Amino acid sequence: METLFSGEFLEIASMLGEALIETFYMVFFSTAIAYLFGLPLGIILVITEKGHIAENLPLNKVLAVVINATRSLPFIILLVALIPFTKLLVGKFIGTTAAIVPLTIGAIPFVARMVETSLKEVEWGLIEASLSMGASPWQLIRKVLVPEALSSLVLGATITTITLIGYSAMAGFVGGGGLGDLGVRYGFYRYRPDIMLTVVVTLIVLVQLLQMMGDHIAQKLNKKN
Amino acid sequence: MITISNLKKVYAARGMEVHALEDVSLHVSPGEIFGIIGLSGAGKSTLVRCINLLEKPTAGTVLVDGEDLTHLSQKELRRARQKIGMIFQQFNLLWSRTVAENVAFPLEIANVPKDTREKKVSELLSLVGLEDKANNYPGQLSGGQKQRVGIARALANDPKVLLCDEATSALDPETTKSILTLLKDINKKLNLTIVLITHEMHVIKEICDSVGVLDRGIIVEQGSVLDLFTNPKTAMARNFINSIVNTEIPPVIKERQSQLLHQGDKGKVIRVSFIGETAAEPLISSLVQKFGVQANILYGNIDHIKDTIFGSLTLELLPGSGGDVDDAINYLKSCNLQVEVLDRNGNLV
Ligand SMILES: Nc1ncnc2c1ncn2[C@@H]1O[C@H](COP(=O)(O)OP(=O)(O)OP(=O)(O)O)[C@@H](O)[C@H]1O
Ligand SMILES: [Mg+2]
Repeated sequence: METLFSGEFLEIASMLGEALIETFYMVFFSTAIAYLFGLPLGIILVITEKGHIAENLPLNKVLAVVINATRSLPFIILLVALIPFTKLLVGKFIGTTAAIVPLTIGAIPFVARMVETSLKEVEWGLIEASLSMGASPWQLIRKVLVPEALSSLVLGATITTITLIGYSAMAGFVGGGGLGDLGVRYGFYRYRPDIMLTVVVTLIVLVQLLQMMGDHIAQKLNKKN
Repeated sequence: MITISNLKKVYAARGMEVHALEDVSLHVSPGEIFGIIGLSGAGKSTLVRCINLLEKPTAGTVLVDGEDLTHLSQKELRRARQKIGMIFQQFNLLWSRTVAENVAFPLEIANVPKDTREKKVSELLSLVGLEDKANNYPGQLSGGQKQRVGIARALANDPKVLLCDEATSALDPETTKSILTLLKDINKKLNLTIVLITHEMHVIKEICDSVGVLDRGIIVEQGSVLDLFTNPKTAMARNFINSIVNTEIPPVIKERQSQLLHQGDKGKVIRVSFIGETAAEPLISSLVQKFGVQANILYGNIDHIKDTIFGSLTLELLPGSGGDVDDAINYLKSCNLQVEVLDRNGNLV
Protein backbone atom coordinates (compact mmCIF):
# COMPACT_ATOMS: atom_id res chain seq x y z
CA MET A 1 0.00 0.00 0.00
CA GLU A 2 2.67 2.34 1.11
CA THR A 3 4.60 2.03 -2.17
CA LEU A 4 1.60 3.21 -4.10
CA PHE A 5 2.06 6.69 -2.81
CA SER A 6 5.81 6.58 -2.54
CA GLY A 7 7.95 9.09 -4.36
CA GLU A 8 9.10 6.35 -6.65
CA PHE A 9 5.62 5.74 -7.96
CA LEU A 10 4.99 9.41 -8.54
CA GLU A 11 8.30 9.69 -10.30
CA ILE A 12 7.45 6.86 -12.67
CA ALA A 13 3.95 8.18 -13.22
CA SER A 14 5.16 11.64 -14.15
CA MET A 15 7.87 10.30 -16.44
CA LEU A 16 5.36 8.01 -18.07
CA GLY A 17 2.89 10.82 -18.50
CA GLU A 18 5.46 13.03 -20.13
CA ALA A 19 6.66 10.23 -22.43
CA LEU A 20 3.10 9.41 -23.42
CA ILE A 21 2.45 13.01 -24.39
CA GLU A 22 5.66 13.10 -26.42
CA THR A 23 4.74 9.86 -28.18
CA PHE A 24 1.24 11.08 -28.93
CA TYR A 25 2.62 14.34 -30.20
CA MET A 26 5.15 12.73 -32.52
CA VAL A 27 2.84 9.99 -33.78
CA PHE A 28 -0.17 12.21 -34.27
CA PHE A 29 1.62 14.85 -36.31
CA SER A 30 3.75 12.46 -38.33
CA THR A 31 0.70 10.34 -39.18
CA ALA A 32 -1.37 13.38 -40.11
CA ILE A 33 1.33 14.96 -42.27
CA ALA A 34 2.24 11.60 -43.80
CA TYR A 35 -1.40 11.21 -44.91
CA LEU A 36 -1.45 14.74 -46.24
CA PHE A 37 1.20 13.65 -48.74
CA GLY A 38 0.71 9.90 -48.80
CA LEU A 39 -3.00 9.91 -49.63
CA PRO A 40 -2.65 11.91 -52.85
CA LEU A 41 0.45 9.90 -53.73
CA GLY A 42 -1.44 6.65 -53.25
CA ILE A 43 -4.29 7.94 -55.39
CA ILE A 44 -1.87 8.99 -58.12
CA LEU A 45 -0.20 5.57 -57.97
CA VAL A 46 -3.55 3.93 -58.63
CA ILE A 47 -5.02 6.21 -61.29
CA THR A 48 -1.85 6.45 -63.37
CA GLU A 49 -1.73 2.68 -63.76
CA LYS A 50 -2.29 1.06 -67.11
CA GLY A 51 -5.91 1.26 -68.18
CA HIS A 52 -6.93 3.47 -65.27
CA ILE A 53 -8.62 6.86 -65.45
CA ALA A 54 -5.43 8.91 -65.77
CA GLU A 55 -3.00 6.39 -67.21
CA ASN A 56 0.53 7.75 -67.12
CA LEU A 57 3.07 4.96 -67.05
CA PRO A 58 6.26 7.08 -66.85
CA LEU A 59 4.93 8.99 -63.81
CA ASN A 60 3.74 5.75 -62.27
CA LYS A 61 7.16 4.13 -62.70
CA VAL A 62 9.06 7.11 -61.30
CA LEU A 63 6.81 7.25 -58.23
CA ALA A 64 7.14 3.54 -57.66
CA VAL A 65 10.94 3.73 -57.80
CA VAL A 66 11.14 6.68 -55.40
CA ILE A 67 8.71 5.04 -52.98
CA ASN A 68 10.52 1.73 -53.05
CA ALA A 69 13.87 3.43 -52.56
CA THR A 70 12.64 5.30 -49.49
CA ARG A 71 11.00 2.22 -48.08
CA SER A 72 14.13 0.13 -48.47
CA LEU A 73 16.11 2.39 -46.09
CA PRO A 74 16.12 1.26 -42.46
CA PHE A 75 14.44 3.96 -40.40
CA ILE A 76 17.46 4.50 -38.19
CA ILE A 77 19.53 5.40 -41.27
CA LEU A 78 16.82 7.71 -42.58
CA LEU A 79 16.82 9.39 -39.18
CA VAL A 80 20.49 10.26 -39.46
CA ALA A 81 20.51 10.93 -43.18
CA LEU A 82 17.72 13.47 -42.83
CA ILE A 83 19.46 15.55 -40.15
CA PRO A 84 20.46 18.37 -42.56
CA PHE A 85 16.98 18.45 -44.04
CA THR A 86 15.36 18.54 -40.60
CA LYS A 87 17.64 21.36 -39.57
CA LEU A 88 16.63 23.30 -42.65
CA LEU A 89 12.96 22.69 -42.00
CA VAL A 90 12.57 23.25 -38.24
CA GLY A 91 15.83 25.00 -37.41
CA LYS A 92 17.17 22.18 -35.25
CA PHE A 93 17.60 18.45 -35.48
CA ILE A 94 17.22 17.54 -31.80
CA GLY A 95 13.95 17.31 -29.92
CA THR A 96 10.44 16.01 -30.22
CA THR A 97 9.35 18.38 -32.98
CA ALA A 98 12.49 17.67 -34.97
CA ALA A 99 11.78 13.94 -34.70
CA ILE A 100 8.49 14.42 -36.53
CA VAL A 101 10.38 15.21 -39.74
CA PRO A 102 12.11 11.84 -40.28
CA LEU A 103 9.07 10.01 -38.94
CA THR A 104 6.87 11.71 -41.51
CA ILE A 105 9.30 11.24 -44.38
CA GLY A 106 9.64 7.58 -43.47
CA ALA A 107 5.89 7.15 -43.26
CA ILE A 108 4.88 8.86 -46.53
CA PRO A 109 5.87 6.01 -48.87
CA PHE A 110 4.40 3.52 -46.42
CA VAL A 111 1.11 5.41 -46.40
CA ALA A 112 1.15 5.73 -50.19
CA ARG A 113 1.41 1.97 -50.51
CA MET A 114 -1.30 1.38 -47.90
CA VAL A 115 -3.62 3.79 -49.69
CA GLU A 116 -2.81 2.18 -53.03
CA THR A 117 -3.71 -1.27 -51.68
CA SER A 118 -6.99 0.00 -50.23
CA LEU A 119 -8.05 1.80 -53.40
CA LYS A 120 -7.29 -1.24 -55.50
CA GLU A 121 -9.87 -3.19 -53.52
CA VAL A 122 -12.60 -1.06 -55.10
CA GLU A 123 -14.18 -3.19 -57.80
CA TRP A 124 -13.44 -2.02 -61.33
CA GLY A 125 -17.14 -2.36 -62.13
CA LEU A 126 -17.92 0.55 -59.82
CA ILE A 127 -15.40 2.76 -61.58
CA GLU A 128 -16.74 1.73 -64.94
CA ALA A 129 -20.34 2.37 -63.88
CA SER A 130 -19.35 5.85 -62.70
CA LEU A 131 -17.55 6.58 -65.95
CA SER A 132 -20.62 5.42 -67.86
CA MET A 133 -22.59 8.10 -66.00
CA GLY A 134 -20.14 10.75 -67.11
CA ALA A 135 -18.12 11.17 -63.91
CA SER A 136 -14.96 13.27 -64.23
CA PRO A 137 -11.70 11.90 -62.80
CA TRP A 138 -12.00 14.23 -59.83
CA GLN A 139 -15.61 13.22 -59.12
CA LEU A 140 -14.55 9.62 -59.43
CA ILE A 141 -11.82 10.01 -56.83
CA ARG A 142 -13.91 12.02 -54.41
CA LYS A 143 -17.24 10.25 -54.76
CA VAL A 144 -16.23 6.70 -55.61
CA LEU A 145 -12.64 5.65 -54.97
CA VAL A 146 -12.13 7.19 -51.54
CA PRO A 147 -15.63 6.66 -50.05
CA GLU A 148 -15.76 3.07 -51.29
CA ALA A 149 -12.31 2.35 -49.85
CA LEU A 150 -12.90 4.27 -46.61
CA SER A 151 -13.25 1.27 -44.33
CA SER A 152 -10.04 -0.23 -45.69
CA LEU A 153 -8.31 3.18 -45.53
CA VAL A 154 -9.13 3.38 -41.82
CA LEU A 155 -7.60 -0.04 -41.23
CA GLY A 156 -4.53 1.15 -43.12
CA ALA A 157 -4.33 4.29 -41.00
CA THR A 158 -4.51 2.14 -37.88
CA ILE A 159 -1.58 0.04 -39.06
CA THR A 160 0.34 3.19 -40.00
CA THR A 161 -0.23 4.72 -36.56
CA ILE A 162 0.88 1.58 -34.78
CA THR A 163 3.94 1.29 -36.99
CA LEU A 164 4.81 4.91 -36.24
CA ILE A 165 4.57 4.24 -32.50
CA GLY A 166 7.24 1.63 -33.08
CA TYR A 167 9.41 3.96 -35.17
CA SER A 168 8.99 6.76 -32.66
CA ALA A 169 10.88 4.62 -30.12
CA MET A 170 13.98 5.28 -32.19
CA ALA A 171 13.42 9.00 -31.98
CA GLY A 172 15.37 8.88 -28.71
CA PHE A 173 18.46 9.05 -30.92
CA VAL A 174 17.63 12.60 -31.85
CA GLY A 175 16.31 13.49 -28.41
CA GLY A 176 12.72 13.03 -29.41
CA GLY A 177 11.74 11.46 -26.11
CA GLY A 178 8.60 9.36 -25.91
CA LEU A 179 7.81 5.95 -24.49
CA GLY A 180 10.46 4.03 -26.38
CA ASP A 181 13.14 6.45 -25.34
CA LEU A 182 12.04 6.20 -21.71
CA GLY A 183 12.23 2.44 -21.84
CA VAL A 184 15.71 2.40 -23.36
CA ARG A 185 17.17 5.09 -21.11
CA TYR A 186 15.83 3.92 -17.77
CA GLY A 187 14.99 0.31 -18.39
CA PHE A 188 18.20 -0.55 -20.21
CA TYR A 189 20.98 1.91 -19.38
CA ARG A 190 19.97 2.57 -15.78
CA TYR A 191 18.68 -0.89 -15.16
CA ARG A 192 15.24 -0.04 -13.87
CA PRO A 193 13.15 -3.11 -14.71
CA ASP A 194 10.09 -1.49 -13.09
CA ILE A 195 10.19 1.37 -15.57
CA MET A 196 10.89 -0.98 -18.47
CA LEU A 197 7.90 -3.07 -17.44
CA THR A 198 5.64 -0.04 -17.12
CA VAL A 199 6.68 1.16 -20.57
CA VAL A 200 6.15 -2.26 -22.13
CA VAL A 201 2.70 -2.64 -20.57
CA THR A 202 1.72 0.90 -21.61
CA LEU A 203 2.82 0.24 -25.20
CA ILE A 204 0.91 -3.03 -25.35
CA VAL A 205 -2.26 -1.44 -23.98
CA LEU A 206 -1.88 1.55 -26.31
CA VAL A 207 -1.49 -0.59 -29.40
CA GLN A 208 -4.36 -2.85 -28.41
CA LEU A 209 -6.65 0.11 -27.84
CA LEU A 210 -5.71 1.69 -31.15
CA GLN A 211 -6.28 -1.53 -33.05
CA MET A 212 -9.65 -2.06 -31.37
CA MET A 213 -10.69 1.46 -32.17
CA GLY A 214 -9.55 1.16 -35.78
CA ASP A 215 -11.34 -2.17 -36.23
CA HIS A 216 -14.50 -0.74 -34.72
CA ILE A 217 -14.57 2.33 -36.97
CA ALA A 218 -13.72 0.27 -40.06
CA GLN A 219 -16.50 -2.14 -39.21
CA LYS A 220 -18.97 0.73 -38.88
CA LEU A 221 -17.91 2.16 -42.22
CA ASN A 222 -18.10 -1.13 -44.05
CA LYS A 223 -21.58 -1.33 -45.55
CA LYS A 224 -20.71 -4.09 -47.96
CA ASN A 225 -21.57 -7.04 -45.75
CA MET B 1 -31.48 6.65 -82.32
CA ILE B 2 -28.27 4.64 -82.54
CA THR B 3 -26.36 4.04 -85.73
CA ILE B 4 -23.22 1.98 -85.64
CA SER B 5 -21.16 1.93 -88.82
CA ASN B 6 -18.26 -0.38 -89.61
CA LEU B 7 -17.33 -0.69 -85.99
CA LYS B 8 -14.12 -2.54 -85.35
CA LYS B 9 -12.45 -3.31 -82.06
CA VAL B 10 -9.08 -4.97 -81.73
CA TYR B 11 -7.65 -5.64 -78.29
CA ALA B 12 -3.90 -5.89 -77.99
CA ALA B 13 -3.22 -8.24 -75.13
CA ARG B 14 0.43 -9.18 -74.53
CA GLY B 15 1.44 -8.87 -78.15
CA MET B 16 -1.56 -10.92 -79.22
CA GLU B 17 -4.34 -9.27 -81.20
CA VAL B 18 -7.92 -10.15 -80.34
CA HIS B 19 -10.43 -9.09 -82.96
CA ALA B 20 -13.44 -8.66 -80.70
CA LEU B 21 -15.54 -6.85 -83.34
CA GLU B 22 -14.82 -7.32 -87.02
CA ASP B 23 -17.09 -4.96 -88.92
CA VAL B 24 -20.32 -4.26 -87.13
CA SER B 25 -23.03 -2.03 -88.55
CA LEU B 26 -26.46 -1.76 -87.07
CA HIS B 27 -29.31 0.64 -86.57
CA VAL B 28 -31.54 1.00 -83.53
CA SER B 29 -34.76 2.96 -84.05
CA PRO B 30 -36.08 5.37 -81.43
CA GLY B 31 -38.30 3.75 -78.81
CA GLU B 32 -37.47 0.17 -79.65
CA ILE B 33 -35.90 -2.57 -77.58
CA PHE B 34 -33.00 -3.91 -79.54
CA GLY B 35 -31.48 -7.21 -78.45
CA ILE B 36 -28.02 -8.44 -79.25
CA ILE B 37 -27.53 -12.13 -78.73
CA GLY B 38 -24.37 -14.17 -79.03
CA LEU B 39 -22.34 -16.86 -77.37
CA SER B 40 -19.78 -16.15 -74.71
CA GLY B 41 -16.86 -14.27 -76.22
CA ALA B 42 -18.85 -13.21 -79.30
CA GLY B 43 -18.13 -9.58 -78.50
CA LYS B 44 -21.45 -8.51 -77.00
CA SER B 45 -20.03 -6.60 -74.05
CA THR B 46 -17.44 -5.01 -76.29
CA LEU B 47 -20.20 -3.87 -78.61
CA VAL B 48 -22.38 -2.19 -75.95
CA ARG B 49 -19.33 -0.72 -74.30
CA CYS B 50 -18.40 0.84 -77.64
CA ILE B 51 -21.80 2.56 -77.71
CA ASN B 52 -20.94 4.79 -74.74
CA LEU B 53 -17.25 4.62 -75.52
CA LEU B 54 -16.28 2.83 -72.33
CA GLU B 55 -14.30 0.97 -74.94
CA LYS B 56 -12.67 3.04 -77.64
CA PRO B 57 -13.44 1.63 -81.10
CA THR B 58 -10.44 0.79 -83.26
CA ALA B 59 -12.37 2.00 -86.31
CA GLY B 60 -15.89 2.98 -87.26
CA THR B 61 -18.42 5.45 -85.93
CA VAL B 62 -21.10 5.44 -83.27
CA LEU B 63 -23.95 7.91 -83.64
CA VAL B 64 -26.26 8.33 -80.67
CA ASP B 65 -29.17 10.67 -81.32
CA GLY B 66 -27.29 12.10 -84.27
CA GLU B 67 -24.11 12.85 -82.34
CA ASP B 68 -20.88 11.12 -83.32
CA LEU B 69 -19.42 10.06 -79.99
CA THR B 70 -16.08 8.99 -81.46
CA HIS B 71 -15.19 12.61 -82.22
CA LEU B 72 -16.04 14.26 -78.90
CA SER B 73 -13.61 15.80 -76.43
CA GLN B 74 -13.38 14.19 -72.99
CA LYS B 75 -15.65 16.84 -71.54
CA GLU B 76 -18.24 16.58 -74.29
CA LEU B 77 -18.16 12.81 -74.00
CA ARG B 78 -18.89 13.01 -70.26
CA ARG B 79 -21.88 15.20 -70.95
CA ALA B 80 -23.10 12.84 -73.69
CA ARG B 81 -22.74 9.87 -71.34
CA GLN B 82 -25.13 11.49 -68.89
CA LYS B 83 -27.80 10.88 -71.50
CA ILE B 84 -26.90 7.22 -72.01
CA GLY B 85 -27.92 5.07 -69.05
CA MET B 86 -26.30 1.72 -68.44
CA ILE B 87 -27.05 -1.26 -66.24
CA PHE B 88 -24.79 -4.19 -65.51
CA GLN B 89 -24.84 -7.89 -64.77
CA GLN B 90 -23.14 -7.30 -61.42
CA PHE B 91 -25.29 -4.20 -60.72
CA ASN B 92 -22.21 -2.14 -59.75
CA LEU B 93 -23.91 -0.16 -57.01
CA LEU B 94 -21.80 1.90 -54.63
CA TRP B 95 -21.64 -0.06 -51.39
CA SER B 96 -21.04 2.98 -49.23
CA ARG B 97 -24.18 4.76 -50.36
CA THR B 98 -27.79 4.04 -49.52
CA VAL B 99 -30.27 3.19 -52.22
CA ALA B 100 -31.42 6.81 -52.42
CA GLU B 101 -27.84 8.07 -52.48
CA ASN B 102 -26.98 5.62 -55.25
CA VAL B 103 -29.83 6.93 -57.36
CA ALA B 104 -28.77 10.50 -56.57
CA PHE B 105 -25.20 9.78 -57.67
CA PRO B 106 -25.60 10.47 -61.42
CA LEU B 107 -27.52 13.63 -60.50
CA GLU B 108 -24.63 14.80 -58.34
CA ILE B 109 -22.32 14.14 -61.25
CA ALA B 110 -24.51 16.29 -63.46
CA ASN B 111 -24.49 19.03 -60.78
CA VAL B 112 -28.24 18.92 -60.23
CA PRO B 113 -29.21 21.01 -57.19
CA LYS B 114 -30.06 19.15 -54.00
CA ASP B 115 -33.82 19.77 -53.79
CA THR B 116 -34.36 18.77 -57.44
CA ARG B 117 -32.23 15.71 -56.74
CA GLU B 118 -34.35 14.57 -53.84
CA LYS B 119 -37.55 14.97 -55.77
CA LYS B 120 -36.18 13.05 -58.73
CA VAL B 121 -34.86 10.25 -56.51
CA SER B 122 -38.20 9.63 -54.88
CA GLU B 123 -39.92 9.61 -58.28
CA LEU B 124 -37.46 7.07 -59.58
CA LEU B 125 -37.69 4.86 -56.51
CA SER B 126 -41.44 4.67 -56.86
CA LEU B 127 -41.04 3.94 -60.57
CA VAL B 128 -38.99 0.84 -59.75
CA GLY B 129 -41.05 -0.01 -56.66
CA LEU B 130 -38.40 0.55 -53.99
CA GLU B 131 -39.72 3.50 -51.99
CA ASP B 132 -39.44 1.52 -48.78
CA LYS B 133 -35.77 0.69 -49.35
CA ALA B 134 -34.54 4.26 -49.83
CA ASN B 135 -32.35 4.18 -46.72
CA ASN B 136 -31.06 0.64 -47.05
CA TYR B 137 -27.57 -0.15 -48.26
CA PRO B 138 -27.06 -2.31 -51.37
CA GLY B 139 -25.54 -5.00 -49.14
CA GLN B 140 -28.99 -5.48 -47.61
CA LEU B 141 -30.81 -6.02 -50.92
CA SER B 142 -31.57 -9.06 -53.06
CA GLY B 143 -30.22 -9.32 -56.61
CA GLY B 144 -33.52 -8.25 -58.13
CA GLN B 145 -33.76 -5.24 -55.83
CA LYS B 146 -30.18 -4.29 -56.63
CA GLN B 147 -30.95 -4.33 -60.34
CA ARG B 148 -33.99 -2.14 -59.71
CA VAL B 149 -31.73 0.37 -58.03
CA GLY B 150 -29.39 0.04 -61.02
CA ILE B 151 -32.28 0.83 -63.34
CA ALA B 152 -33.45 3.81 -61.26
CA ARG B 153 -29.88 5.12 -61.20
CA ALA B 154 -29.51 4.68 -64.97
CA LEU B 155 -32.69 6.67 -65.56
CA ALA B 156 -31.80 9.55 -63.25
CA ASN B 157 -30.62 11.98 -65.90
CA ASP B 158 -33.52 11.20 -68.27
CA PRO B 159 -31.39 9.35 -70.79
CA LYS B 160 -32.41 8.82 -74.36
CA VAL B 161 -30.89 5.37 -74.43
CA LEU B 162 -30.52 2.59 -71.88
CA LEU B 163 -27.75 0.03 -72.38
CA CYS B 164 -28.11 -3.31 -70.60
CA ASP B 165 -25.12 -5.61 -70.36
CA GLU B 166 -26.51 -9.03 -69.34
CA ALA B 167 -28.77 -7.24 -66.88
CA THR B 168 -30.63 -10.38 -65.85
CA SER B 169 -27.92 -13.02 -66.12
CA ALA B 170 -27.21 -13.03 -62.40
CA LEU B 171 -30.87 -13.39 -61.46
CA ASP B 172 -33.20 -16.35 -60.99
CA PRO B 173 -35.95 -16.94 -63.61
CA GLU B 174 -38.70 -15.37 -61.52
CA THR B 175 -36.70 -12.22 -60.80
CA THR B 176 -35.49 -12.09 -64.40
CA LYS B 177 -39.10 -11.97 -65.49
CA SER B 178 -39.95 -9.10 -63.15
CA ILE B 179 -36.92 -7.09 -64.27
CA LEU B 180 -37.76 -7.68 -67.94
CA THR B 181 -41.32 -6.57 -67.26
CA LEU B 182 -39.99 -3.43 -65.61
CA LEU B 183 -37.74 -2.69 -68.60
CA LYS B 184 -40.69 -3.19 -70.93
CA ASP B 185 -42.83 -0.81 -68.83
CA ILE B 186 -40.14 1.83 -68.81
CA ASN B 187 -39.67 1.45 -72.55
CA LYS B 188 -43.38 2.12 -73.04
CA LYS B 189 -43.83 4.79 -70.39
CA LEU B 190 -40.78 6.87 -71.22
CA ASN B 191 -40.48 5.91 -74.87
CA LEU B 192 -36.92 4.95 -74.00
CA THR B 193 -34.70 3.20 -76.52
CA ILE B 194 -33.14 0.11 -74.96
CA VAL B 195 -30.17 -1.90 -76.18
CA LEU B 196 -29.93 -5.16 -74.38
CA ILE B 197 -27.33 -7.86 -74.71
CA THR B 198 -27.84 -11.40 -73.60
CA HIS B 199 -26.91 -14.98 -74.30
CA GLU B 200 -30.43 -16.13 -73.49
CA MET B 201 -32.94 -16.34 -76.30
CA HIS B 202 -35.93 -16.16 -73.98
CA VAL B 203 -34.89 -12.63 -72.99
CA ILE B 204 -34.95 -11.64 -76.65
CA LYS B 205 -38.30 -13.33 -77.15
CA GLU B 206 -39.79 -11.79 -74.03
CA ILE B 207 -39.19 -8.10 -74.63
CA CYS B 208 -37.20 -7.25 -77.76
CA ASP B 209 -38.59 -5.74 -80.93
CA SER B 210 -35.48 -6.19 -83.04
CA VAL B 211 -32.48 -8.40 -82.69
CA GLY B 212 -28.95 -8.77 -83.97
CA VAL B 213 -27.14 -12.07 -83.80
CA LEU B 214 -23.48 -11.63 -83.05
CA ASP B 215 -21.09 -14.42 -83.95
CA ARG B 216 -17.36 -14.00 -83.37
CA GLY B 217 -17.43 -10.26 -83.86
CA ILE B 218 -19.78 -10.22 -86.82
CA ILE B 219 -23.51 -9.47 -86.92
CA VAL B 220 -24.64 -12.49 -88.92
CA GLU B 221 -28.33 -11.73 -88.85
CA GLN B 222 -30.45 -8.74 -87.92
CA GLY B 223 -34.12 -7.89 -88.13
CA SER B 224 -37.37 -8.09 -86.24
CA VAL B 225 -37.62 -10.73 -83.54
CA LEU B 226 -40.62 -12.30 -85.24
CA ASP B 227 -38.66 -12.63 -88.50
CA LEU B 228 -35.80 -14.25 -86.67
CA PHE B 229 -38.04 -16.78 -84.99
CA THR B 230 -40.10 -17.65 -88.02
CA ASN B 231 -37.41 -17.46 -90.64
CA PRO B 232 -33.91 -17.79 -89.21
CA LYS B 233 -31.24 -17.69 -91.89
CA THR B 234 -28.15 -18.80 -90.04
CA ALA B 235 -27.30 -21.90 -88.07
CA MET B 236 -26.35 -19.65 -85.15
CA ALA B 237 -29.85 -18.14 -85.07
CA ARG B 238 -31.48 -21.56 -85.40
CA ASN B 239 -29.47 -22.88 -82.49
CA PHE B 240 -30.58 -20.01 -80.30
CA ILE B 241 -34.20 -20.53 -81.29
CA ASN B 242 -33.96 -24.24 -80.60
CA SER B 243 -32.75 -23.45 -77.14
CA ILE B 244 -36.26 -22.27 -76.27
CA VAL B 245 -38.65 -23.63 -78.87
CA ASN B 246 -37.94 -27.06 -80.18
CA THR B 247 -38.32 -26.73 -83.93
CA GLU B 248 -36.36 -29.88 -84.63
CA ILE B 249 -38.54 -32.86 -85.43
CA PRO B 250 -37.70 -35.66 -83.01
CA PRO B 251 -36.07 -38.79 -84.56
CA VAL B 252 -38.96 -41.06 -83.66
CA ILE B 253 -41.22 -38.99 -85.89
CA LYS B 254 -38.69 -38.75 -88.69
CA GLU B 255 -38.71 -42.55 -88.85
CA ARG B 256 -42.40 -42.42 -89.47
CA GLN B 257 -41.95 -41.50 -93.13
CA SER B 258 -39.82 -44.52 -93.98
CA GLN B 259 -42.28 -46.69 -92.11
CA LEU B 260 -45.11 -45.38 -94.27
CA LEU B 261 -43.14 -46.03 -97.45
CA HIS B 262 -42.19 -49.41 -96.18
CA GLN B 263 -45.82 -50.26 -95.73
CA GLY B 264 -46.48 -49.23 -99.33
CA ASP B 265 -48.71 -46.49 -98.05
CA LYS B 266 -49.19 -43.36 -100.11
CA GLY B 267 -49.22 -41.26 -97.01
CA LYS B 268 -46.78 -38.43 -96.36
CA VAL B 269 -45.36 -36.75 -93.34
CA ILE B 270 -45.33 -32.96 -93.70
CA ARG B 271 -44.51 -30.00 -91.59
CA VAL B 272 -46.73 -26.96 -91.82
CA SER B 273 -45.37 -23.70 -90.46
CA PHE B 274 -47.53 -20.71 -89.87
CA ILE B 275 -47.38 -17.18 -88.58
CA GLY B 276 -50.16 -15.00 -87.36
CA GLU B 277 -53.83 -15.33 -88.23
CA THR B 278 -53.92 -18.81 -89.74
CA ALA B 279 -55.56 -21.09 -87.25
CA ALA B 280 -54.55 -24.71 -87.54
CA GLU B 281 -57.74 -26.43 -86.64
CA PRO B 282 -60.14 -25.45 -89.47
CA LEU B 283 -57.36 -26.38 -91.87
CA ILE B 284 -57.17 -29.89 -90.64
CA SER B 285 -60.89 -30.36 -90.75
CA SER B 286 -61.04 -28.97 -94.30
CA LEU B 287 -58.32 -31.43 -95.33
CA VAL B 288 -60.60 -34.16 -94.21
CA GLN B 289 -63.75 -32.69 -95.67
CA LYS B 290 -62.44 -31.35 -99.00
CA PHE B 291 -59.81 -33.89 -99.87
CA GLY B 292 -60.88 -36.93 -98.00
CA VAL B 293 -57.45 -37.36 -96.49
CA GLN B 294 -56.85 -38.38 -92.95
CA ALA B 295 -54.59 -36.06 -90.97
CA ASN B 296 -52.88 -37.13 -87.80
CA ILE B 297 -50.96 -34.64 -85.72
CA LEU B 298 -47.62 -36.20 -84.86
CA TYR B 299 -45.80 -33.30 -83.34
CA GLY B 300 -46.02 -29.58 -83.02
CA ASN B 301 -45.19 -26.41 -81.22
CA ILE B 302 -46.98 -23.16 -81.15
CA ASP B 303 -45.67 -20.05 -79.55
CA HIS B 304 -46.20 -16.36 -79.63
CA ILE B 305 -44.11 -13.23 -79.83
CA LYS B 306 -46.11 -10.38 -78.42
CA ASP B 307 -49.49 -10.83 -80.12
CA THR B 308 -48.37 -12.91 -83.05
CA ILE B 309 -48.91 -16.65 -82.90
CA PHE B 310 -46.43 -18.75 -84.79
CA GLY B 311 -45.42 -22.36 -84.88
CA SER B 312 -45.34 -25.56 -86.81
CA LEU B 313 -47.29 -28.80 -86.89
CA THR B 314 -45.93 -32.06 -88.14
CA LEU B 315 -48.78 -34.01 -89.74
CA GLU B 316 -49.17 -37.44 -91.20
CA LEU B 317 -51.49 -37.30 -94.20
CA LEU B 318 -53.03 -40.61 -95.25
CA PRO B 319 -55.14 -41.07 -98.41
CA GLY B 320 -57.92 -42.64 -96.39
CA SER B 321 -60.91 -43.38 -98.56
CA GLY B 322 -59.63 -42.32 -101.98
CA GLY B 323 -58.32 -38.89 -101.06
CA ASP B 324 -55.27 -37.40 -102.76
CA VAL B 325 -52.50 -36.38 -100.42
CA ASP B 326 -50.76 -34.18 -103.03
CA ASP B 327 -53.94 -32.18 -103.67
CA ALA B 328 -54.19 -31.59 -99.97
CA ILE B 329 -50.57 -30.38 -99.82
CA ASN B 330 -51.13 -27.99 -102.71
CA TYR B 331 -54.19 -26.67 -100.96
CA LEU B 332 -52.16 -25.95 -97.84
CA LYS B 333 -49.54 -24.15 -99.90
CA SER B 334 -52.26 -22.06 -101.52
CA CYS B 335 -53.28 -20.96 -98.04
CA ASN B 336 -49.90 -19.22 -97.71
CA LEU B 337 -48.52 -21.78 -95.35
CA GLN B 338 -44.99 -22.99 -95.50
CA VAL B 339 -45.18 -26.71 -96.19
CA GLU B 340 -42.25 -29.07 -96.05
CA VAL B 341 -42.40 -32.75 -96.89
CA LEU B 342 -40.28 -35.33 -95.17
CA ASP B 343 -38.34 -37.55 -97.55
CA ARG B 344 -37.53 -41.16 -96.88
CA ASN B 345 -34.49 -40.28 -94.85
CA GLY B 346 -36.49 -37.99 -92.63
CA ASN B 347 -35.13 -34.79 -94.21
CA LEU B 348 -37.40 -31.87 -94.92
CA VAL B 349 -37.70 -30.85 -98.57
N1 LIG C 1 -9.90 -5.78 -72.19
C1 LIG C 1 -9.70 -6.80 -73.03
N2 LIG C 1 -8.45 -7.12 -73.42
C2 LIG C 1 -8.24 -8.14 -74.28
N3 LIG C 1 -9.20 -8.90 -74.80
C3 LIG C 1 -10.46 -8.65 -74.45
C4 LIG C 1 -10.78 -7.59 -73.54
N4 LIG C 1 -12.12 -7.56 -73.38
C5 LIG C 1 -12.62 -8.56 -74.13
N5 LIG C 1 -11.63 -9.21 -74.79
C6 LIG C 1 -11.81 -10.32 -75.74
O1 LIG C 1 -12.71 -9.91 -76.73
C7 LIG C 1 -13.62 -10.97 -77.06
C8 LIG C 1 -15.03 -10.51 -76.86
O2 LIG C 1 -15.27 -10.28 -75.46
P1 LIG C 1 -16.64 -9.78 -74.89
O3 LIG C 1 -16.46 -9.58 -73.44
O4 LIG C 1 -17.13 -8.63 -75.69
O5 LIG C 1 -17.57 -11.03 -75.15
P2 LIG C 1 -19.05 -11.29 -74.66
O6 LIG C 1 -19.83 -11.63 -75.88
O7 LIG C 1 -19.54 -10.17 -73.84
O8 LIG C 1 -18.89 -12.60 -73.77
P3 LIG C 1 -19.63 -13.00 -72.41
O9 LIG C 1 -20.96 -13.54 -72.80
O10 LIG C 1 -18.73 -14.06 -71.88
O11 LIG C 1 -19.70 -11.80 -71.54
C9 LIG C 1 -13.21 -12.15 -76.19
O12 LIG C 1 -12.40 -13.00 -76.96
C10 LIG C 1 -12.43 -11.52 -75.08
O13 LIG C 1 -11.45 -12.41 -74.62
MG1 LIG D 1 -20.12 -9.93 -71.73
